[in-house]
Amino acid sequence: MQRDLVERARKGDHDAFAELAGAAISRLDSTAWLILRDPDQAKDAVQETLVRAWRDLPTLRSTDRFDAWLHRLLVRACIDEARRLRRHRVDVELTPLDTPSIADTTSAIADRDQLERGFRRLEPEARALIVLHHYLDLPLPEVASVLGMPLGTAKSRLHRALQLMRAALDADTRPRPGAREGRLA
Amino acid sequence: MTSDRFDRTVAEWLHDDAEHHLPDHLADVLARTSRTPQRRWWSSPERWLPMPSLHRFTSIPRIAWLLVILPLLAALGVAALIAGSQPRLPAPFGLARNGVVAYGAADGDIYGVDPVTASSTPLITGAQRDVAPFYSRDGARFAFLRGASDHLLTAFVAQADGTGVHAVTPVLTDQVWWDWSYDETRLAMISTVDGIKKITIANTDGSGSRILDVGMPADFVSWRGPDDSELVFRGYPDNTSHAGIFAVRPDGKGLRRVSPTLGDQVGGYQYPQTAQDGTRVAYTAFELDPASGVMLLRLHVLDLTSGRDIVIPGAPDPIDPTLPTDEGYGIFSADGRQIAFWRDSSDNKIVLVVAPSDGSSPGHSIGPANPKVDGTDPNFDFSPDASMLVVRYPNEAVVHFLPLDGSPGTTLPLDAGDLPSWQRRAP
Repeated sequence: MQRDLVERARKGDHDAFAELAGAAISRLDSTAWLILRDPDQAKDAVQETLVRAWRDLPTLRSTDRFDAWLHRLLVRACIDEARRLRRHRVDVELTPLDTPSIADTTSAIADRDQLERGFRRLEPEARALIVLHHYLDLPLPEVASVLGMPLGTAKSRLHRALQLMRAALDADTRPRPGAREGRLA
Repeated sequence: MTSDRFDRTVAEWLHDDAEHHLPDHLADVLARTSRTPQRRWWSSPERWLPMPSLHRFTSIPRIAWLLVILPLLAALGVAALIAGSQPRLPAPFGLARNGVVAYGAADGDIYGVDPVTASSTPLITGAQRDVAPFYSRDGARFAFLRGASDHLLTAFVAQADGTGVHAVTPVLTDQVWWDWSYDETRLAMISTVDGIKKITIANTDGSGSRILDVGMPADFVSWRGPDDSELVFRGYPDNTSHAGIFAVRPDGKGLRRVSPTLGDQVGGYQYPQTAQDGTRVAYTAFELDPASGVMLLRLHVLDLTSGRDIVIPGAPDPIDPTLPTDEGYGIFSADGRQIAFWRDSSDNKIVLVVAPSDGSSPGHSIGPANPKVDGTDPNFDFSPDASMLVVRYPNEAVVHFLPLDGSPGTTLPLDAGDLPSWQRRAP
């Protein structure tokens, strides 16, 4: 069914593309949100992804790889958006983050806050690795393919990203009087 | 917290956090796409890299080769004397002198450019949109496509100077691949018929064309030279996505599988390219690398006669030498001794590499490493004299000519939708 829609869309059938986009947009929205942590930027990234998908569909090599290709376009759009965001935040000077709470680290809410802080400290590429593997449940070879990197690289970078996240969480549990964050990414 | 438990915690947090829904914006994006034109479908390298004119000298005993080539050159010489002013033509295989490069420009016309002087000559002009010129093996003619729609195009043939234009096919749907026969009388091409990719054989004098039904979807067709005895193609038996490499006679008889196995769904027998003597096919496979224990894209050269399959050795990642690299999409040089392909690196760049086609070394890089663009690979081919690569990187409006000896290359601002076709001339 999807293959037929992709074939039709590839030949310029916009109704077929609308069906494909409708089926994918919720997943794309969630993925972009998780990577970017900013609803406006996430929306822009998804819009850019679907416009590029429509524009470039005739050059797609294998219609069976449509989903993987869409993920690749989305990750690229997210990284581009994140870079724009980063430039913007440099221009407006430093933005303080909430000082981490030490007292309630055992609560679920605090755990989630810490996870979020740890995740935000990662580069967008590293966030994308984690989201593709641990949210979209893509196997690592597929993640490597989406990100356009060798599998060995994907493995080592995922490992490194999770290590960095854990290290950030560990750091959060230590007192840091007057700590300020500069850039979010 | 253990590593596994931490991974699970992260996964659970991501799934909970993904509930952060964005406002519905599907209608907005569809309004944008409805105003956006689609790209030309031939701009993808896999769809459009022209089949190179190839032949391998090394596998043929020198005496035998001489016995073949000397009478042919003599005959060509005599013919040239008889014809008086008629230009000398190269043999349909092997090294040749570099001629002009022809390309389809954005204005819908076809131009020939001297890559040394950069002087440009219009070859096919007019109101119609003409694209994708592709020189014959002797460089005396070129084929091209004409049509307003990207998906509905008619194949034409013209003399090298752009005269004598005539149609050789009816309108074809999604014509994606073609190859000149060694005797220059036929073009084999892939287009979509009733929703299935099929082989069409067109007579280059315009006297007709026919569909060759091989009983399965087919792509990447090439003639098996130098006697045009068979066509080699990638086929999908039983309409599955498990591809293999097959050969069939031009009359549709004698179908046989020449690859030892059928590939898997994700990466078996990608981008098969036949060497000119028909004895070898280069292909790319996604497979477990025994040295590193990870899945990688690897470039193979399969000997169709003996079944011997060699892997072009990989090279360490330039960023992290402990990691392997993916590589693939090999093209043989005109003398069959070298193979050009791409190799990626963990900084998301891709570099072109030329290596011996016998797998004796990992080869050396040609030109700069370029960032990957949305997974689109560079489009490249050898020059007829095998002294350089012609390269078009994604999203560039220029074509690079990169010498294999490492000397500085040249770049021409050719607004080409695909890789130019390089004319072969008599040495």
